[in-house]
Amino acid sequence: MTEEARQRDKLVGLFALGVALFNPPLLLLFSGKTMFGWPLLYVYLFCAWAILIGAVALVVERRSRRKRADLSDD
Amino acid sequence: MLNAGLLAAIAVSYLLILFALAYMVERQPDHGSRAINSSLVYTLSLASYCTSWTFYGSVGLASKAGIAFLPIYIGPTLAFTLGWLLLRKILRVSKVNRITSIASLIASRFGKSAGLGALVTVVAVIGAVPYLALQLKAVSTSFLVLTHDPELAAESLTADILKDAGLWAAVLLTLFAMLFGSRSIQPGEHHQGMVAAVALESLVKLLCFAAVGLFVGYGLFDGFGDLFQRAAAVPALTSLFAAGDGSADLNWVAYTIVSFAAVICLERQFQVMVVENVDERHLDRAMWLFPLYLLAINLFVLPIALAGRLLLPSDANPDTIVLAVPIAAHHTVLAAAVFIGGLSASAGMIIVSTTALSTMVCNDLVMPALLRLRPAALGSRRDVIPLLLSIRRWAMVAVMALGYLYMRYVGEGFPLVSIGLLSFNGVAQFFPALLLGLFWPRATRLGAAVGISAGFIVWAYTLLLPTIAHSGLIPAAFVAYGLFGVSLLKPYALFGLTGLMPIAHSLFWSMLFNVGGLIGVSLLYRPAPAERAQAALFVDVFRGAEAAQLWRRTAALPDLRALIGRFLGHRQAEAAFLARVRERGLDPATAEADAETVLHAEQLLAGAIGTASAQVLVQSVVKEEPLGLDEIMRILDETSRIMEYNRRLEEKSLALEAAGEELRRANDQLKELDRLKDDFISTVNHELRTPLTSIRSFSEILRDNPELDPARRTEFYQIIVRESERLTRLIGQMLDLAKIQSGQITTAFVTLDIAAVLREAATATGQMFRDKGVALDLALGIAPLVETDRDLVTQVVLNLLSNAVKCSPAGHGRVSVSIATVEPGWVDVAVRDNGPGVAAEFREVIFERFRQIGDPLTDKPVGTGLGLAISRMIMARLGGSVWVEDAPGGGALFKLRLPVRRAASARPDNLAAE
Repeated sequence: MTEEARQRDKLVGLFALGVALFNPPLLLLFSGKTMFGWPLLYVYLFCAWAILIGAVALVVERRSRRKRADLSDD
Repeated sequence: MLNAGLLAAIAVSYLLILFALAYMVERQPDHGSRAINSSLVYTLSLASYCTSWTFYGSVGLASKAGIAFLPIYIGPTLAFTLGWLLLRKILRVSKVNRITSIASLIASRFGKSAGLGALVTVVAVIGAVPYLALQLKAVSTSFLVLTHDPELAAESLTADILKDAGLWAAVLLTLFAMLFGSRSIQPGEHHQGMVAAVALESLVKLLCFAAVGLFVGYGLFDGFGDLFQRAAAVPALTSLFAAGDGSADLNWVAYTIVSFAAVICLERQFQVMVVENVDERHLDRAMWLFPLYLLAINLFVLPIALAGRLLLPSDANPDTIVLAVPIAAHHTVLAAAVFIGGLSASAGMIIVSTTALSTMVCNDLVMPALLRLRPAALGSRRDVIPLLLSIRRWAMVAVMALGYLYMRYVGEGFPLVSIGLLSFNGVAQFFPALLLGLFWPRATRLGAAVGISAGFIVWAYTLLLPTIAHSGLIPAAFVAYGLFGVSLLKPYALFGLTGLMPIAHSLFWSMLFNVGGLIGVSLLYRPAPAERAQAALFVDVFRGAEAAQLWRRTAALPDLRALIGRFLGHRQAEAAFLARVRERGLDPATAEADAETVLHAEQLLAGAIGTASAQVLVQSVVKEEPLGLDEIMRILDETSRIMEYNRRLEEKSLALEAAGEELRRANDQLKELDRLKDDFISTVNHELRTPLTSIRSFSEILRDNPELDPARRTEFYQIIVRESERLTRLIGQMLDLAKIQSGQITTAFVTLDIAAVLREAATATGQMFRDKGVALDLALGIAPLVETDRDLVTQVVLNLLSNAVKCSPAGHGRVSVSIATVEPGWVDVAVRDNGPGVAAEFREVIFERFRQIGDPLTDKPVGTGLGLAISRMIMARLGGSVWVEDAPGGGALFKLRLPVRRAASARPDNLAAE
């Protein structure tokens, strides 16, 4: 239970991170600039998005793997 | 361009393939369930979130406002990040309560209120109509673009309604939805065929969209870098790379919030995410796979939009860029694929949405009304299933008709995205009631009703009505001048609030009234006890709250059985119910159903016709005695008391367990001591017997043989005296031992000169040394002062000295005593002899009781076997130690180590001395 609560807290943390990453103050930082001809805002948003998804996947999949391992132990 | 007939044929055959897939899945329930029962299919069915709004509209928006299309997908990503807190709770609550739609969830949470369910249904239908219109418009426009010159795309819809592809799409998709969404009444409302078809559609639309994206990047341009660079060269397009300022920022935030709420509250998302969910664990994977799908389908939106702006004439309809780009490149196959992808996106949404809406209309609007208004007519029917199905089918037709009308008469002048956001904003009105309902037990039915109604009215006034007014169906004056000419009531600048775009503006005001109404009213009015019980059931669902029985309900089993048969079909449902009844040990033919069974029947019914209707139905056959307020309070009170007892019991049992463990350890220790004591007694017995026996036997010899010669007589007397002395010593030492072991010896720590103690001991044992002819060397030097017990140390030293004498060879024996400081804080006393020494394996053994080295048969014992044991105990008591080591050059070297200061670890307990 404590382990699950810990994982849940991680997700809340990622949610807060997402809120920060995908909202105006940070967006303005990348607005209107380009990098090697690519619009920086576009690159930033998709990279941040992919990282967030990856982090959620790490948290969630590790837990479900552990859960499966627990089941096979029984 | 493409021939209209050919395109129609392609579209119809694609839909037929979907039909076939769905049909196969439904026909083979076992195979189907394995295919459906995967997190991938679950995720893909969730992706029906991406409708033609995503497929055509995002590109349209991106071509004008750049990245602003993205928050619609960021919101759901954030919502799914909170999957374990929010979505899983919704899933669990819905499963426990057999929820079939968002309307029944909200109705069920707020005291199974039929009124609230109806309100939610009405709002959901009104909110969904523009959205359905959006899909039909996309199908119709894309058909038009493909079969006509794209220049005409901006033109109005065909005047001839029968040639409108949107109409035909509406008819076909309604049929599809009817076939698979309302073919039979399933407890739990699972539509596996539909889910499979929707999942396939999600895959198709993603592939088609990605194909266009790659074609744009590598077919039309020299890679995406080239595309971006060429776009950057056009001044009009550079603004698309920037985030907006001021009001655009607020819009971004508003879109994120709206889509966050919508991905949960949209009737179709609720349908695929909650109602069609077969395994809660699928959510785990969907939490990242669904956002990944969103990312993938949005990756090419901006490139396609830029290509459209670069390649197409500036007056082209932005919502058809996806289609117009391949057409402009004369790539007909790709264009057809895009059409199929767009059709998939529309079809998926329409099928799921109409199914969900028809369930809501039937379960939460029509059935409760029928049950209330015409219970007699319903009662006379033997089988209600055909009635339920026809209600659902007519609901589908009605909803689609509304959608089509909206598209034809209202939606024409608006871009896809703004119609979609209009809908999102409408269904977002459920979000506060849902969220607070799940996490705040005080939220009440009245609060929810006021909040949803207020939010809905504000939404309708600030978003929906202006679009209808725009089409001329109602007078448009209120949009420009405010209702009744009151300028504070302008729908786009309510109460004079300007500077916000319509969506953000509407969201702010509707949520203000919605949340304000919900919280305010909930705080002002106390809910009824039954409602409070239901609230607790929802908020504490993970704590295993059980359905509180607030009514003593009983019913004749045959009545209940007939009821279930009429609404769920006779065979399967009855079988399930009867199995449960037998499990409880009741006789189905005659018995009275108890409250538990009645509840079970109600839940079964709720799975098919909604919670509110189920309650009304069950009420019609039960004999119900509502518990009085006093009784309910007593039950609640009792429950909390029992919980308190439970908690205390748990604490007590933990304490008991700990105490038991301690006792067990003590018992083990006692047993071990007992064993040691037995050993000790038997050894002592033996040791005492030996001298006694010899005293007795020599005394007997002397008594029986008076003629013994004096020399022998003297010798025998000597033996008797020696053995008596030995006995005395033995008894004295045993008493010492017992005293030390039982902790009865007292220690008096004084600071003393250890060298003086040694000198006194040497003097005391001087006669022994002289008798045996052993030399004693004292090499004491200047010894440090030691804080210890004089008598005890003396006893140990005397013991070591007498041992040394005994072991030294008579005549040329040599014993030396020395003092050294090897470790700071400790003083070592060494007693060395030149006797036979102690073999390595005996160096520990000799400190045990009654252990003397040497062969007991041949060697006469030289001591009692207790001296060293006592010495060791005393040293332990004094905080020091005693041991034996090899003396260089032969002999034994006994060493004492004493702490200079009284050791804190000098243990007073007798056990440790062991």
